[in-house]
Amino acid sequence: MRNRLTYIIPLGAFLLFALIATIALVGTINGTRQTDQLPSVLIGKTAPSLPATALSDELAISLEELAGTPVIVNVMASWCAPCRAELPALALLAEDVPIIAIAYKDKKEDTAKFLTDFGNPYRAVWMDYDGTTGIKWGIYGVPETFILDAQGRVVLRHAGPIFKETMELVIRPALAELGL
Amino acid sequence: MMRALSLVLLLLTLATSPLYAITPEEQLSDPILEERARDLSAQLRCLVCQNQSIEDSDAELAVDLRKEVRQKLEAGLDDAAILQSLQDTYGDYILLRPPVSPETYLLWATPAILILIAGLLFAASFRRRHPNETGDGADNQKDDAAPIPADDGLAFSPRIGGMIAFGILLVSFGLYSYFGSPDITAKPLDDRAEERAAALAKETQQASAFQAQFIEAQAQAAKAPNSVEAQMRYALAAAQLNDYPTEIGALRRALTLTDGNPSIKAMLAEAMSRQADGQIILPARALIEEVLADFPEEPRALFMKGLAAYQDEDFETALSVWQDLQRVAPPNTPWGPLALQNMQSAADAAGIPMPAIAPPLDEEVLTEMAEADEETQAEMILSMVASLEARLADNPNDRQGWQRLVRAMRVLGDDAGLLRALTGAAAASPLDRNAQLELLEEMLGRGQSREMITAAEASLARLKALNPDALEYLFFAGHLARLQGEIDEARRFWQALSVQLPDDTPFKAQLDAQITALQQ
Repeated sequence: MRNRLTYIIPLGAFLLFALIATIALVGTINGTRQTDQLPSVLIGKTAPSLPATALSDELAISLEELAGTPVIVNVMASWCAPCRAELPALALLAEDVPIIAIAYKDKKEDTAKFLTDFGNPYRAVWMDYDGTTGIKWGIYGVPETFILDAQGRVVLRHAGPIFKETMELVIRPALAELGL
Repeated sequence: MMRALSLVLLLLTLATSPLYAITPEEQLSDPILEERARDLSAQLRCLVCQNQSIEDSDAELAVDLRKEVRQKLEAGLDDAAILQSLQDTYGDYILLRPPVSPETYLLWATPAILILIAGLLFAASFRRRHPNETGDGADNQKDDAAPIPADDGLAFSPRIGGMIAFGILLVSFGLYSYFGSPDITAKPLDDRAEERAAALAKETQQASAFQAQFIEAQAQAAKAPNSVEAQMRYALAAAQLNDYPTEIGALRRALTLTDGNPSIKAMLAEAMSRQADGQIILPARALIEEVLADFPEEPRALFMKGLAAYQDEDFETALSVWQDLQRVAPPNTPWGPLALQNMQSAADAAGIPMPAIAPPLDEEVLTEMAEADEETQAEMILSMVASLEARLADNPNDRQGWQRLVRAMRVLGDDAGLLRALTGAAAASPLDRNAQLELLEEMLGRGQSREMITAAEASLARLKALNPDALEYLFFAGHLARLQGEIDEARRFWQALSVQLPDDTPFKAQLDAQITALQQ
């Protein structure tokens, strides 16, 4: 009896491990479990503040001015290629939600050139010259996208560019919950 | 000997002491604060590398976080407050040592649980084996029906182990001398030295040819700033040198000069995307949409629309757009294989089967036809042509279908059918100059029904859209005006044509004679 137990315990442990691995793998394949995403502690909390300087006077709309409606905050930089790649997706989103950019560790002239060359889906662009605002928002790379509800609370954080799959599986469902 | 060797090894180990990521200018002047900063940094995870502390990491975010820690230290915060503030923005994950909380109970308890299980198993096996060792043979037989395998059953004897080790050495030496000998690695390059030199010379030659073309095109464009052709040549020359800003500038001027020619607009969109490393950027997308709104079959714009969808990972859309492109594209285009390849990768990415491009001829029909007698064959051909024409009436945008119908009507000698097919082909490809010309040529000298005049007018309008100064357009426009009895109109067109013709051509003489005939 005990002899059999010494076989059953490792086998059981292995099967348990295999089950957990299978669940994780299926989640990864379906895209419901995202291994490259770190959890954000900002979820449910009021969003941190924006940098003090805007790219230009026309692009100086603050979070307070947009209060009462959901907002997307997109942390980007002119030196970041994936940020360029997600611009078409952001342009689609901008039809429904105002998007505010935080230009992370960027220079005004570079950001301005980036927007004229590749298109500007943003309602406002704020300059985070030294990355301190980035630390307040808890970002660890660009691009990162935050969805804020009408009360200014963070409801979603997505690290990395937005393509069709993330758009359909992550961004759109979150916006749908906000009634958009 | 052994002692000397271990000494050397020890020295080597010491030589590889860790390099610190921290730079002198980051450090605080107060040594006690600096010590605390290092201590804190060692506890914080670099979120970019994820398995290094920010103390050890060279990532930019780690540098920023080290700065943040030092600023807070200088502001007088205690260690716990600093860790807490970072935990508030980055979460528990930033701490290399996870805090004990209900979520991490299992994590912290796992080692203890494993030790407990191991201890129980050990105790169980010890209790089972213990009676054996006391030498109670009869008991042993009864308790353990299956004999316990000997523990050292799989171990090698030292001799076999030594042989294996020696064998591995021999094999590695053999592999090295076969694949790794220096004279072999150098050879492939030696053999191809001439080829490489030739290729390099050709490249240099081509580069200087491109450069010369560019300088000439630049001069021409400067000399004739209002010539579309000069601007286009300038753009092409710039593209050959990968000088995208110049190419875009020239294309923009050409676009203004032609008042928004759709082909040039599509080329501009392409150049803008090339400048952005091949990404179909937003302004390019806007141009593509503009082109396709007026000319849904502009091939370059269609191709890029598909590419944009592909880059958005919207593979189904990419595939359907490229399918449209295949349908409207003239047969045997140089970029045909590339487009097919693109479709294949879009189909692979979307996980759907590659759609058939042209429906293959039914094999049964082919065999039946080969076996039939001549009269039946002719009948079958006629019915196939009729069914093709009926299909085209339902789907008038099928360019290739119209071209097949034109060929079939020519072979059959069906003049009325040929005119119908040419009219359809010209309408299906409004940007194809040749399709318009073919129709207009065929109409010359035939009876002029109301229907035909309407078709010719439509075709002329398309030619005009392509280039209102083209010689062919002026010629046919004058011809049509004359047919309709609008003599003044006809004269105007032909005179505009005549001034563009060189003086000594026989055609100019003929045309001038015609103009004179008109006036009488």
